[in-house]
Amino acid sequence: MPARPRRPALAALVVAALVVVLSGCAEAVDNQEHPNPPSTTPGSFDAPGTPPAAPGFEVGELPGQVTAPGTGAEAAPVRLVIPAIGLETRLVRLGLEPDGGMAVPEDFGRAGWFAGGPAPGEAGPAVIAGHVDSRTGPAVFYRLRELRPGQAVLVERADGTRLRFVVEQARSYPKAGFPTAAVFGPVSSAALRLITCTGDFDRARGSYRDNLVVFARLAVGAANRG
Amino acid sequence: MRRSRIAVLAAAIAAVAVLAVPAAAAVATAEAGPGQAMVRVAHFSPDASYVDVYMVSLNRKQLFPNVFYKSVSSYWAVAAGPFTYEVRAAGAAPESQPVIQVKGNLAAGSSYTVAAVGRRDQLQGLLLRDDMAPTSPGKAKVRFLDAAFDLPAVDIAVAGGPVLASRLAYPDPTRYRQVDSGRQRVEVRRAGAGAVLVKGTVAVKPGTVTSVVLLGGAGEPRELYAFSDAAGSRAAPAGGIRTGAGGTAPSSRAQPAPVLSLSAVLVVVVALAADARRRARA
Repeated sequence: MPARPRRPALAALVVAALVVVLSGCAEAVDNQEHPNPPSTTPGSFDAPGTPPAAPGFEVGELPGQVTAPGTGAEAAPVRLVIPAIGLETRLVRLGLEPDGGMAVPEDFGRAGWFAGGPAPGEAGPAVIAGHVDSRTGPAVFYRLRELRPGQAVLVERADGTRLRFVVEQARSYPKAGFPTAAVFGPVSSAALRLITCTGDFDRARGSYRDNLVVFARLAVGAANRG
Repeated sequence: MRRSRIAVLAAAIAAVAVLAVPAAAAVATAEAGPGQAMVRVAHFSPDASYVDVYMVSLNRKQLFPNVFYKSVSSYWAVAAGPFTYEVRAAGAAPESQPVIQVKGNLAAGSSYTVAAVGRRDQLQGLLLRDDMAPTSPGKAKVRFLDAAFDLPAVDIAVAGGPVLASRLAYPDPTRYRQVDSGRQRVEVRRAGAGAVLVKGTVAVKPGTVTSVVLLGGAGEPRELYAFSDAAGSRAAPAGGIRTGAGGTAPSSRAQPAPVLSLSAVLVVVVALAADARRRARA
């Protein structure tokens, strides 16, 4: 009970302080960025204008202009480095098997790039696959399951450039219902998918039941020599 | 008293934090997450050279000042749901009447282009749904948009080849259609086998999705302007990926425990028997 009468006073003080702080800041912002009163500006189609004061709006430039389609191909990827899981591997080229399935690396110690799709850095979903294990033990993508959103995936290319991708998410899918369109279908910018096996091992078929797909996107300004 | 001072300080910090929201540009994204749609901005009005574009979705209020003719942005993700696109002349007050206002509903997982077209005193806004479904193996997908407000309806055809769009009129888009990949000479003709109005080249790789807009008028050159919507694989593989031989898989889920316990029992039995024999001898 004794604390009760003090509360309105405290609330009033906080509100008053907040009003002072807010109005002070608002004035400061207005004075700095908008020397002319913006509310009466009619605007012009013929010349760039001062960005109007639009409270509550994020103001910025449009994200990167797209390049014309059909422009030159990117260099082929030759090496994959994932520092977070201590992975470094040369990349082989992968195509399709006669049954329409994707070929996989013969060497359990190497990952491969699916050359039937975009190269890493090109618009679209570049796909790199590697085995989770051989018959006797862990293979190149054994630790892929440890990757978390935000971690870096580096791809070195034949022309000496290196691209940096950032992991967005990792998901498991039953092979019986593999989401081909989501993994190999069109996307609007440069993306990367790392694929291996996961889930239960079906001894009768000699294969895992599920695929693990790690989705990554190209980090902005990610190409450099080295 | 001390608590109130802390409260004031906290309020001040909160207020500054609110006001100090950075002028964050949209970050381009490759694909939409759950509950998200992808949007991008295009500006195809030749004589409204600079405009301010306002994009209001459920989770973001974004202003892009000074967007200029022939700009096509990359896509970024916003929350699916109600959406408003407004355009004002560059620098115009946000309270002023927009020259374009389009309201729509963005479906989760879909991609959209919002475009400004038309003469500056008759601007129109388009909310176009972009089809990101995979192409047939080896093919590409193309759609056309007629932004030439000063031309009559047109046919668009491969030179000496098939018609790709017939009786297309401002400000309509065509549906996407599958075409052979490669570089093709394309003609824009007055609808109904009339005179050739524009010639251009459209180059598409297999697996890609492309939009081509017929531009110009009001002093700007007439042209076919192609821009990429998305790119996929030339030919996607069938089914899952066979990337494991089982060397690290548990031997099997049901069998290992009984097998182990059976051998353990055998070991114990043999040991007990040997022990009993030793005792019997002793």
